[in-house]
Amino acid sequence: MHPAKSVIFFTTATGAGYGLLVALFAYSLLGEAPADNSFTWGAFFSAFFLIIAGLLSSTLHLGHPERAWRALSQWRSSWLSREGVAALFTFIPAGLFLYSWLTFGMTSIYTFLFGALTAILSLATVYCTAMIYVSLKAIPAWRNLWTLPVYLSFSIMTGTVLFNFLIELFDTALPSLTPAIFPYQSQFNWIHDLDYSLPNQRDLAEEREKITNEYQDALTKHEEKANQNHEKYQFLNDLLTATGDALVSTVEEFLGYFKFSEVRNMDELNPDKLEEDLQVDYPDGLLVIEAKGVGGTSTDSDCQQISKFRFRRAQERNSTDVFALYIVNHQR
Amino acid sequence: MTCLPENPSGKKLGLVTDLDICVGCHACAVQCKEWNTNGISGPLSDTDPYGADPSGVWFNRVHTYEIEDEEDGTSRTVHFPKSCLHCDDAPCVTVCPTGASYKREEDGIVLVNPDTCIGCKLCSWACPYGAREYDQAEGVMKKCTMCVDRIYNENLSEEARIPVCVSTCPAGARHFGDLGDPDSDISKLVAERNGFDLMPGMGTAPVNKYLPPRSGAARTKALGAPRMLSIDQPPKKKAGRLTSWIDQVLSGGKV
Repeated sequence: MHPAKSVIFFTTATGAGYGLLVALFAYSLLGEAPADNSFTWGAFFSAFFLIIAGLLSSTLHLGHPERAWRALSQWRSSWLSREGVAALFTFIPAGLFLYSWLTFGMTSIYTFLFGALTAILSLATVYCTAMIYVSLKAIPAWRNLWTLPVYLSFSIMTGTVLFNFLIELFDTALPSLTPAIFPYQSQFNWIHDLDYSLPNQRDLAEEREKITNEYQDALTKHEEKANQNHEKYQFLNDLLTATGDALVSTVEEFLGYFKFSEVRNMDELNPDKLEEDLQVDYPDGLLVIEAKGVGGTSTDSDCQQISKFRFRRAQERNSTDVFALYIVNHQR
Repeated sequence: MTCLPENPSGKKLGLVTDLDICVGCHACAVQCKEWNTNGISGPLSDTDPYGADPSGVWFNRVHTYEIEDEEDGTSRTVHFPKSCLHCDDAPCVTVCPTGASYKREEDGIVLVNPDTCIGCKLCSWACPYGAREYDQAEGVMKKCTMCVDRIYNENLSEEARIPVCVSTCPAGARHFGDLGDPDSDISKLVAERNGFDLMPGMGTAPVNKYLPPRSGAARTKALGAPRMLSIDQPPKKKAGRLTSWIDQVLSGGKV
């Protein structure tokens, strides 16, 4: 009996990894959440690392590692194939177990369900590993009642030892070595309970809370005010950036801001007739305005357009008190 | 699929080896390697062939044992050629994780597909007979093919379409045929000579059978050879009185 070293590593590493997942499920049942997630990350990382390293190592003893995927096909008859399938399937609930532990907390129903599924599939995988050997009739050293319980108990045992090591590491050893990295982790967290608060401390804490709230309220109000102001004078910015109809209505708004009362948006009043954009009545006569957003310099015909409209209006009014204004926004 | 065939045809091509008359010449093993290293399973690689620890792929291996005759207590040598037994309930097939190892529905021959074998060697652990041969050079498992590239080979003459170990055996110790058919010559031979399964306790139901070494009188009679006399047994007095007297004088016996 000389199994390849890679297979021995595979059996030991994945056994410990799956045992650790089972231990994590058992731990989640206790419902005693650690102060921060460093242990959770550390433990799941260790389990996944051991399992993945073991699975990769197991392909090293193959004559053709690149064909290893084929080993997933014969789960109907082969324990080796079943082991591969179970090993890969375990990653699904194990990933969800970690996700729900971090998201919903270790005592949530999702954590329980995914944890239970993870534990069952983990043990099933170790069971399949053991059955590879138990099923070999030709080798009495393996085909006996010891093999299966030994595989399962070694897996759970190594996993549990590893679990204890990790919880000591993340709960005690690392926080005492580098407290800065584990701000929430301390054996003396109970000292922060209200039962042990110092004189005046509670009042001061409430006061601090009140100040914070007031500050927050004032800040919210101020932001609202700033927003309103911004909205009100937005057209001044638009004047520099707008084009087309938006530019015309911005100019219209701007003329209103300058206290011109009789401003008519001709495009809106008379959408079919595309002549001057705006008309303004004022005591000395009529002002016709054309507003354009043009990149660069206006052409002659652009400039002449408004004087054409000016003559038309003058003709209509039978008076020369019509003035033309051509506004170009060329900053765009 | 590495499940065993669900609807076997009933045909079971197999070998019968007569342990009584095998002389242990290794011709079967050598000729097997010769044929198969050039055939579909080839090359059958060797590692360190001329070195201190030579090993290689051999589908046939002959082991030799010294046994004591149950009947007359004499010592004799039994040569035991071993190859794949093409078991009905082949454990090497069901443990295969990839489906590379399979048992043919039409004639029960157990084969390995070298294109899908991953070389995990689990089949070699599962086989109680040690009949599986791992090719270090190619990284795949190989085994006796029952010369499947001979027995159906229409390029060969009719009489050559038998496994090469059978055709080459100088002692006629090997037989090939359909062991699934009770009326075939080979099945009758097995029945007549009390052919047996190797390690029946393994539950593999091997197709190949072995004929036991016959002991004492039955053996000499069957072979038509004169029986070896014990040293203190006087010769039969069939000769004339004069010649028997001379014989006794010359051999130092009392007159």
